[in-house]
Amino acid sequence: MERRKVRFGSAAIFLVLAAVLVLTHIPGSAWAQKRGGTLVIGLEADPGHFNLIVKPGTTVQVPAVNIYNKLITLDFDLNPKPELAKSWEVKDGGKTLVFHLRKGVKFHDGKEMTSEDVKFSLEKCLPYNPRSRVFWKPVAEKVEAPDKYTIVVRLKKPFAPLLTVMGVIFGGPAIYPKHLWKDHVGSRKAFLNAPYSKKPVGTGPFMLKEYKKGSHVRLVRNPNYWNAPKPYADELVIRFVSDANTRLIALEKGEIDYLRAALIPWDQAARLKKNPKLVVLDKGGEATGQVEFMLLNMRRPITGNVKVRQAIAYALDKNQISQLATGGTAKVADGIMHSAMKWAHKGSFAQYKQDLKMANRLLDEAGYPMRGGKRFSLTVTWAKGRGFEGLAAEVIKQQLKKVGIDIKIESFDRAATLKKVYINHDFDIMMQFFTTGPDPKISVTRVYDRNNIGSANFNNAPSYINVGVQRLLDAEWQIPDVKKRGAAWRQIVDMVAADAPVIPLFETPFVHTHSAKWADVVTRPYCAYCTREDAYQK
Amino acid sequence: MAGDYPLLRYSVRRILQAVPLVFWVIIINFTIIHLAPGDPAIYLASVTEATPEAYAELRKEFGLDKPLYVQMGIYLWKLLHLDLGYSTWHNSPVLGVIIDRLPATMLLMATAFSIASLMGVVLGVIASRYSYSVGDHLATLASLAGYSMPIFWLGQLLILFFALYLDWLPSQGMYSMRGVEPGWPAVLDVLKHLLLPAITYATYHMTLVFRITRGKMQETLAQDFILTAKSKGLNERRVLYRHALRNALLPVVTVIGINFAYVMAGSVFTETVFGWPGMGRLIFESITARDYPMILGIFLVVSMMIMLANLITDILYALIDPRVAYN
Repeated sequence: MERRKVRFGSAAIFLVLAAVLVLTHIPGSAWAQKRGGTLVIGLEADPGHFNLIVKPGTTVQVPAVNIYNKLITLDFDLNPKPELAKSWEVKDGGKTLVFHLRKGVKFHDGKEMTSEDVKFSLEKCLPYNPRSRVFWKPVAEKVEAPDKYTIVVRLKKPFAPLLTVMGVIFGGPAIYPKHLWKDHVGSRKAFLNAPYSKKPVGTGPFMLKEYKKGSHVRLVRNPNYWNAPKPYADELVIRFVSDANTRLIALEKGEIDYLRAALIPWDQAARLKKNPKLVVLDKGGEATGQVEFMLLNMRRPITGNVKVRQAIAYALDKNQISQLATGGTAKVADGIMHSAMKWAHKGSFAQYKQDLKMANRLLDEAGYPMRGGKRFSLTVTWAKGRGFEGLAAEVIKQQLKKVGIDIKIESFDRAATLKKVYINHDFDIMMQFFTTGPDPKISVTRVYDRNNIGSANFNNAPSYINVGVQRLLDAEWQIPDVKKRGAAWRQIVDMVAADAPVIPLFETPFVHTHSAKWADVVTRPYCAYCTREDAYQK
Repeated sequence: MAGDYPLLRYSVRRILQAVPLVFWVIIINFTIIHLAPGDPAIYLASVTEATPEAYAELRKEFGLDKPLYVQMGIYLWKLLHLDLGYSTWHNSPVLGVIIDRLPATMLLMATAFSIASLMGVVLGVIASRYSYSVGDHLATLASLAGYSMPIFWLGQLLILFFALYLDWLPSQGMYSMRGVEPGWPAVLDVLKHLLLPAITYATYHMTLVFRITRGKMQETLAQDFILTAKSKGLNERRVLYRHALRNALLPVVTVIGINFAYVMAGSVFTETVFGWPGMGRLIFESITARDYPMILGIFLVVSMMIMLANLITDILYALIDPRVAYN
């Protein structure tokens, strides 16, 4: 009897200990979060204002996503999840979407958010968002607000990516208070000059407290936030530091608590991982899905030859490029979109394993025989600011030399490079870092669509035209069934890989880094524009 | 009337002479900036991934669709009405943004400039007094190193050593983001942030002032009147500072005055490396964003400040050397 008691007692103690152990090691377990602290985020430049409607760029997004909410958000598998809309239904074969809004959500000025605000944001603000309007304009028909908490979006035709796209801040609209903005609509200038560009009022977890130009933005907890007890941090400071080295030192020193992966020099990631004061993540970029590409200008006679493009693809050792340009942090890319978009991704470019014999043969066949160790010269262009692209260009130069291609490297600042490549089409090969998520219709199609050859940034710079690809691109976004849509995309990837107007090099790593004093800093699949309402101090 | 105030008359004349100079500065700046590839519309469109229509709309909004001479005419007309234009990136009047950033730069510059001028002169005098001693050689060597070292590199080294390794000082910014009470603690906090950028900023100029002072002092100390002063039985300090330094100071003042222009240029590096929220970083950010009105506005303000510094230098001449007359 006594023995049994002792055994029972030890078992109970063991169970309690085990439970404590498990609970303390579940990241973000509910009981662990407590309120308090100031989370400091590093940003590369002063945003100038917080107007997401007309300038949905990163520097504006980083503060603004904490001030505003969207209707829906995305989980790490890119599935839509409720935000201001608690539920939704898709009707009429994808032509009608009904959103049911949360009740009792208040703007920072105390007024309740209703379907009128959502209708206003969709109808009046969205057409001025240079990014979202691209895909909303051709499909949107009407927005109705049948009652205070219901919103109905009617489309001209089904638009399969809609929910995914609405889950990211640059895709769907943030919800703006109609009562404040209604007199400031109608043009880009009217929106920009509204007082709420610099004094934003939203429903988000944080409210603007201070904007010290050139130095920082300070946000404080919204005491009436609908998703209480969030946010956990008392304050959120976004600090502007333009120098990459200084930013990194500030992070290591604890002056900054979080830097997104784009601001971490990737070759430093391995060293940062060893620092016990820091946590280097490997998630939080699934929705942006960035991939580094070489874009080959098909308007030029040499790169216009498919055999030359294929030969270049065969001549490269991508493992070595990733190793030397990113310290091996980045995974080699084998498709035209990030592998996180599992339903559509296909590694068709894997066929181009380094094969110098094949590369030489293709170049001979293309009519460029080797003369004195050289066949022809090409120029690789990259925009200053992304050092890894410069390193990659150097490695590519060495690798292509082996098949007789002489590479010259040129680099300008961002504005000059964009004009040269996208407006003037004056380049042979461009190193370009593309967002490919959260849906390929939004960020992949633009590079291969014949209707997108023109004068705008990030267009079809190679000037690629393939009738088969075009047919699929025009149709795929109307296919509601994700499996069939995925099959269409896999066909597209196969065809593009055969033509090689671009060569994917590596998928950018999600090495977002934060102070070990904080947890749950990144809880969405989009690092830069992730709300920090979940972040808490340990 | 003005004849009774030669200094005033001189100053007014110099300011009037500066007007056509400012005009040419504006024309040259305008042309150079527009010659650089890229424009504000393409940069702004690059952060939003805009369509060709959006790009065209932006160009129209910023007036970039008009011929360059028309754009220049519009700009000059606005300037005549004291309107420096509207920043394409900050979406605010240019003058407002500059005024916001100016105090931070003035604080950094005034501190660095004072350190550089005072220390440079004092060290120069001491070095000339102990010419060709071991100390003098070491100081000359150190000044050569300080003179040759790029500001951004020195800044990084100081950050690594004092901020990261010793952990004595903050690495960047002007304010701590956590737990600073208002009042004196806040002032002290700014001073702590100021120290490293000010030293970085001051080093180059200090070495320059040091070298000029030392050389000129050596020359002056060898002259007869110094011997006379010494033989009159004046104490050494008085000879050094009242007799020799006053005579050696003229070229030093010139160098300090000219330095002012370089100080402005140096602020771009220092402020960028240290994340200092001043005009220097604003220049860097505005050039990156091709924010034409902002860049032109900053250049104009800086040009006028340099002209003012030159005027002050000239006036100082008279105070130091009574032989200089203003006509």
